Amino acid sequence: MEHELTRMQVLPRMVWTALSDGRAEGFGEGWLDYTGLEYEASIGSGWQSAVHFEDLGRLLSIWEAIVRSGSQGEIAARLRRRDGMFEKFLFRLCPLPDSSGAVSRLCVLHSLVEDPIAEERTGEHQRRFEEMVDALPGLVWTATPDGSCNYTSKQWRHYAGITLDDVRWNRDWETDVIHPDDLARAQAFNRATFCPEGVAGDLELRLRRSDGEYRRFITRTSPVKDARGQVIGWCGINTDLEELKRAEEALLAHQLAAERVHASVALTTREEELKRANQYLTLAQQLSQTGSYARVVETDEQTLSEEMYRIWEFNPNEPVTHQMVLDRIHPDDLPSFVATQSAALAAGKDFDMTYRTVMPNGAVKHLRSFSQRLTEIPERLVYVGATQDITEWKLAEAALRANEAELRRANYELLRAYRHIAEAQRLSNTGSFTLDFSVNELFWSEELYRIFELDPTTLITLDLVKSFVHPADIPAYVNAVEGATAGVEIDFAFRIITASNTTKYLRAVGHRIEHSGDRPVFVGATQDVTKSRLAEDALRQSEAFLSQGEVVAESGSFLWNLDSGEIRWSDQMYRIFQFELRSLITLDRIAARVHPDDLADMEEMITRAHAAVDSEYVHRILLDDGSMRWLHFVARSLQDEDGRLRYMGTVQDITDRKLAEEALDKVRSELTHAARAMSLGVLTASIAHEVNQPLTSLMTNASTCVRLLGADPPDLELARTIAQRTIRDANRASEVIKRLRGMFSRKRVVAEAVDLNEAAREVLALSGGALQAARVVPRLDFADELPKIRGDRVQLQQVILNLVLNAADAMGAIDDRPRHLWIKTSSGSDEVCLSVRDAGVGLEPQNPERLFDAFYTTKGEGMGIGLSISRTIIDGHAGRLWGVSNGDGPGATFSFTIPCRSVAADPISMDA
Amino acid sequence: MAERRLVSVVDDDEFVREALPDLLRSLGLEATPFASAEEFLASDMVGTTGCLVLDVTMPGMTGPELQIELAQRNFDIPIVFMTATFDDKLGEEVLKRGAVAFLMKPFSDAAIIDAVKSALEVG
Repeated sequence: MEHELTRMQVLPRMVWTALSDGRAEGFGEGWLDYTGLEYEASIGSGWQSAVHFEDLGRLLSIWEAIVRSGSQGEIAARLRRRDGMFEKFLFRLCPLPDSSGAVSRLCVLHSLVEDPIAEERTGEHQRRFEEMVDALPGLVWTATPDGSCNYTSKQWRHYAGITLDDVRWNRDWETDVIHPDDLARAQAFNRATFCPEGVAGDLELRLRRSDGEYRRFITRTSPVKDARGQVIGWCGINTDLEELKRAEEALLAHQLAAERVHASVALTTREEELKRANQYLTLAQQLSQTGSYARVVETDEQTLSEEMYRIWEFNPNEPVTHQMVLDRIHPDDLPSFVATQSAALAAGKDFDMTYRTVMPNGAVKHLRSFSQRLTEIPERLVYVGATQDITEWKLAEAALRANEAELRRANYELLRAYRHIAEAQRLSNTGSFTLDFSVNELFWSEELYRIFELDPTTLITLDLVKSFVHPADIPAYVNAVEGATAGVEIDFAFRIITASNTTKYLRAVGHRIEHSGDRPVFVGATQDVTKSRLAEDALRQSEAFLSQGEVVAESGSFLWNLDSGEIRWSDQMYRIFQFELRSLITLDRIAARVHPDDLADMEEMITRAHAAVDSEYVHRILLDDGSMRWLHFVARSLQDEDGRLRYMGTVQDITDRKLAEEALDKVRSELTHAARAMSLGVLTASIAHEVNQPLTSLMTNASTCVRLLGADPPDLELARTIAQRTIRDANRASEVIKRLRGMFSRKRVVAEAVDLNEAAREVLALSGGALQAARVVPRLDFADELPKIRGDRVQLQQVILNLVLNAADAMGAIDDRPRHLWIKTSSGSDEVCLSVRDAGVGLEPQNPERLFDAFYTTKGEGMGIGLSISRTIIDGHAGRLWGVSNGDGPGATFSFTIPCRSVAADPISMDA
Repeated sequence: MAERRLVSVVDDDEFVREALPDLLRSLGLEATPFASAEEFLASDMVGTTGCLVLDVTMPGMTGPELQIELAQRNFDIPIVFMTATFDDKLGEEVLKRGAVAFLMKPFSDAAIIDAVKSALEVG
């Protein structure tokens, strides 16, 4: 803005004021100097004589628009210099509101057009600029430095259903087009961008299409700068992201589904590992009588397994300290024990020791310990280890030594097993127990106390455990205990309700290790599986939901492993193909079901699958009872991590939809015919008129001819002329009949090249009588060299006829103005448009789209299917049909567009 | 009123305007064609026309409207109506207002000649 002011000051004072109706009040010297006009000759409307006559009309209409809008505007126009030369000026019209706010006068400033932006606003440049912008594929716009939009490309206007006048004079159109939820963001963006320091920027927002649908766009805005780097305008392009966004969302949904499946697989795997670990534990204890421990060196925190407590004869309920361990070591072995251990700990290394212990009752045991540092926790010194009572082995040392190598390996295996166990325990919320039926007592690990939320000193009995068991699981618990009493292995799941009223899912596994008297003793593990049970429940529910969804959607899914040939089907797939559930699926079995005519498609699908190409088909299958189903098959090629090729997809039974579509086609065809028959009724009078007219002159001419020949003397020359007229009249009548024949035959039509001008002319020729009867005056405005479109000529004429008759009907009650009907054709870069405009009552403003509903009618007679069918026909030609009330006068305009296709394109086939 | 033998033919169809006057001329009558009611009213032949052969449906002023207009201007010209669209109600109306005949297109030469002759006699 600033640089424009500077320019104004440089120029002579070309400033004057005028009343809002365009009459000038006073002029500065600049005007009088430049134009050479006298002051008196300039005031009033005299100033207009200095404006080039070609520019005056536009100038005055924009003047009016500016007065109406109340905001300033500008327009380029040529002014005559005193020497008679014309120069181009930019007229800046600044409305001056009076005290009441109404615009009663304006201030007019002129500046010589120099800068390219202003230059482009005028004449040829402007047209070229607009043509160039209109040719761009996106929705393009330009704006003044303050961000006021001053031009939008044709595509943009077409998209939003706005006109150039909206852009120039209705500042609210943008607010109207932007989605209300995006408006605040858009305004903030505009404030930040449209300033002298503004830089290019992107904004994502939703814009309303003329049919009311909001689509997502990215708007890219860039400043236009002059040579001095000052912002002299803005231009932007809006790119439609809707399809992209939808694809992204679909992809995201896919990923989420895939993640859910992975999660459930991972869960299952972990459960299996745990189960295996439990089995290891049981097995290892059974085999080796080896205890395990874990020790955090810094805190001297020791965790011992049950077996370990037994070996060392520590009280399981008391924490074990390192000193307690040292106190048990045989005095002769203590120095080497301490030395070996200290050296290993200092170096953070693993160690292996054999030593003796002295128990409180004086018994000596030979023990062997393998300790390994847990490298998984590098920041802390943590050791896990296994200690084995080798007293008996020591006694038979000689024998054992022979097998030392084997022993070492076995020990090594054991050590690995224990490491598994240690980690499994850490991971798995598993406590271990010993159950001795001879004393009816349970020994629990600390973890189990924690799971039951009990104090670790509590004495555990079977009855105490039972008091926590969920009432519904009591029978299972009693059953398991009774079984265990009889020596049956323990493996059952049950729920407990803890003191904090939490329900936990537990799984107990126990192994009978010995008999004490006739009573069995069990060791086992109890795991808190609440988390996985809940996850499992959720998974089962969502699986059930998916399966139910498949039933409802009548679609099944499949996975075909191309390497192994294995085909996996969802239950719904079996139901669709009516195969026995879970039976083995082979390509041959599928092929036996596929309709013989569609087998080629299936073979192609198999070829594509092997080539890792996605497929989509609609094909038929024949069931055992002879019925036929239509299926929609979509498959996607996938490669798993090992590079194995898989084909995954869905099959939907679309038979019902297919039948409905066929029924709909039939109804539509009948409706089209009904509508045509109805129009036929309306047209009868018109046709009679059209045929009777040439017949009248024919008969009259024939009679005259006979008379002339019968006169004495006969006027042969005139008789000959008149006889020739009869031939012409007969031809004229037969032309009418020919047109009718084309219009009212009902047949399947293959698309042909159609000249809309010609088609419309024929419709007018046939409906001329009806229009005359309705006192409607048709005005034609046909584009020259209208490109031909491909389509069904008769159907399109049906639409034109419908629009023309509707327009005539709409003016039936109009008596205060001419009943004008305009038919206009035009062509854009890729489409042809035909509009029928009337001066009738106009459309109901509430919802013009309702007009296109079937059986919606505003007329006393008529079924209300004409526009509905017309829209169906235009849709069938990939075009658009819409109606709007005229903005600049009474009445309405209905238009349709049809895309231009090259003549070589595939013909549209449709039912007439 | 034998001196008023001029027959004016008003029809928007140019072929009818060509054929009918020739037929009437072959009978020794004077005939002048007009393309619209407005053209006829604007001509200087309104006062000299002895018979008006008038089409019903035309753009702008229709035949029946011209009949009313002439009556309002006190021109008592016998009128033979012709129409290509059958409408017996309209026929009744124009006959009631004094028309000599209401002919359906196409008509025989006898029908139009009889109608024109009786119109000239009425005049």
